[in-house]
Amino acid sequence: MTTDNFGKVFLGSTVALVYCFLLLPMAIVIIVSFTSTEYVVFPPKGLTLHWYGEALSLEQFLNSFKISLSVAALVSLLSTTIGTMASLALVRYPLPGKEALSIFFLSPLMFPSVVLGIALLHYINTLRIVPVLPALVLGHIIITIPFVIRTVSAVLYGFDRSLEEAAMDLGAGRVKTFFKITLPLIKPGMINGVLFSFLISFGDMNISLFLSGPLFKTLPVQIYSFINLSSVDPTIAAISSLIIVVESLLLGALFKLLGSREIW
Amino acid sequence: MKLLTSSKRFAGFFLLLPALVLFILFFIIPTLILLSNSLFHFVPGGGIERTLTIENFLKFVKEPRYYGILFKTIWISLVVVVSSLIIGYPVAYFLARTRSRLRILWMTMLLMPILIGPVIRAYGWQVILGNVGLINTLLIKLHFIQEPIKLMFTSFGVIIALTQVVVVLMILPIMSVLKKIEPSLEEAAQDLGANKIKTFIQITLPLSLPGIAAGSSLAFALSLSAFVVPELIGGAVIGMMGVEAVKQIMSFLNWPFGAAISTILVLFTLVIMYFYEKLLYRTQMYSSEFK
Repeated sequence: MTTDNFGKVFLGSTVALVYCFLLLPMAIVIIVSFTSTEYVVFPPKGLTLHWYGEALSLEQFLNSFKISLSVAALVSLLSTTIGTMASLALVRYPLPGKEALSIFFLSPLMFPSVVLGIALLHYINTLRIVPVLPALVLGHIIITIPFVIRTVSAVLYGFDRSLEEAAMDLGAGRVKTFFKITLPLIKPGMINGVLFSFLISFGDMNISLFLSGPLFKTLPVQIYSFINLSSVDPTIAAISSLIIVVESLLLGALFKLLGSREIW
Repeated sequence: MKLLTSSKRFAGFFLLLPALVLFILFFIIPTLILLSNSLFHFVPGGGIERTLTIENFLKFVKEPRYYGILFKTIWISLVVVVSSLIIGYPVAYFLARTRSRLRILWMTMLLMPILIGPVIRAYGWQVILGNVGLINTLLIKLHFIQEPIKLMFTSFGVIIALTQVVVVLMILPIMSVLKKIEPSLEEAAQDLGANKIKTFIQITLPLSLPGIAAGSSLAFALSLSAFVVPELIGGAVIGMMGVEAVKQIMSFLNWPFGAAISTILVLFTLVIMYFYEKLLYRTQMYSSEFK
C-alpha cells in the first residue's frame, strides 16, 4: 500500500468513526424506543410501537408540541425578516462603526445563553407586563438572528451587483429591482435562516426553561420534566425519536432544495 | 451626491433599526440589570438589599467550593476543546476537499447534533452511559468487566457528551479556512518533492491555523457556559459554572450570588470574543464565512 492510499484509508475511517460518534446518541434513542419493557434498556427487548401510541396520546406532549410549534413559527418568520433587513444594512449601506455592529449582532452565538435566560426571567418579573409567549419569542429571536445574519450576509457578499444595476438601467425602480432581482437572489440564505431559526427555537432549552410556566412548557422543557421525573420512561425515547426523524427530514429537504449553492 | 449618501445612510439605519431595538431591549438591558444584581446584598429567604457591595465576588474567590467550580469548568472545557480539535480536524479536511455529491448529506448529518437541541442529545447520552446503557452492556457481554462502571455523573461522561456537540462548532470554521487554501499550493510542494505528510505539516496545517484558533475559541466559550448537558449527565456532583448559577438562583433564590457567577461567565466570554474577533479580522475570513 502506498502512503497515498494509506492516507486516504486513514482519513476515511477517522471521518466514519467521528460521524458514528456524532450520530450515536440519536440512533440509540430511536433504537431503544421500540423496547417492550416498561423501562429503557439497551439492547431493547422485544419490538413494539406501544410507546409511540403512549407519547402521542399524552395531553402534555400534545400541548407542548403546539406551544413549541407556534413559538418556532413566529420566531423563524420574525428572525428571518429582521435579520435579513439587518444583513442588507450591514453589507450594503454606509453605516458608522459597521464592524463593531456586525460583532454586536453576532455576539449571541458566543454569549452564555443560560445567562440570557435568567436575565430575561428577571426582566419580565420586574416589568410584570410581558406575557410568557411574547417573552419566549423575543428571547428566541435574539439567539437565532445571528444565524440569519450569517447566512444572508454570506449570500450578499457573493452577489453580483451588476444584475441590479442592469435592472435599474432598464427602468426598474428601486422597489421593483429589490423584489424582482435582489430578493430571489438572497432567497437561499433566507430559506436557510427560516429553517435554522425554526429548529433552534424548537430545540432550545437555555431560554425556554426559564420562561416556561408549569402550564406553559415548550416540548424540550416538557421532555426535561419527564426525564427529571423518571429518566427510564420509554415514552421519552418515543417522542424524541419522532422529533429526530422529522427534523432530519426537514434538514435533508432543505439541503436538497438549495442544492449546489453552497452556504455551508 | 452628498444628499444621496445621507439618504442612503438613513435607509441603512432604518433597515437596522428593528434588530437594534430588539437587541437593546431584550438582550443588553436585561443582561445589565441581571449582572448589576451581583453588586447587591443577599437577604436569606430571597430578598435583595440594594446597597452596593462586592461581597458576592469575595465569597466566590474565597470559598474553595466556588472557585473550584470555576477551575473544574475551565479544565473540562479545555479537554473538550482539545478532543474536539483532534477528532474534528480530519472531518473538516474531508468536508473541505470532498467533491462527492453526497457532501450535502454529510453536512446535514454534521449539523444534526446542534439542531436537535440539548435535551434530546443529553437524553441519548444518558441511555448510552447509564448502568444498563450501551457501553456497560457491551463491556459486560464482552467480559471486559463484571460490574457496570460508573459513567453517568462523572467528568468523563460530561466531557464525552459535550465533545459530541462542540466538535461541530470546531469543524465549521476549520472547514471554511481549508476550503480557501489553493490546492495548487499543496501540489507545488509535492512537485518539489515533499511527501503528503510533509506537505500537510509545512503547508496545510500552518495555513489552517486561523480556523483552528477561531474554532477553539468558539468551542471554549460554549463549553464554559454549557448548562443542560452538565446538568443531565453530571448532575449535582459535577458542578459547572452554568449549573451553579442556575442552582443559586432557582433553588436558593440567591439572585446576587447567581448574578455574580453569571458575571464571571460573561467576562470570560467577552475576553474570548475579543481574541476571536481579532483573529477573524486579521485573516479576513469574516466576510463570507460562518463562525
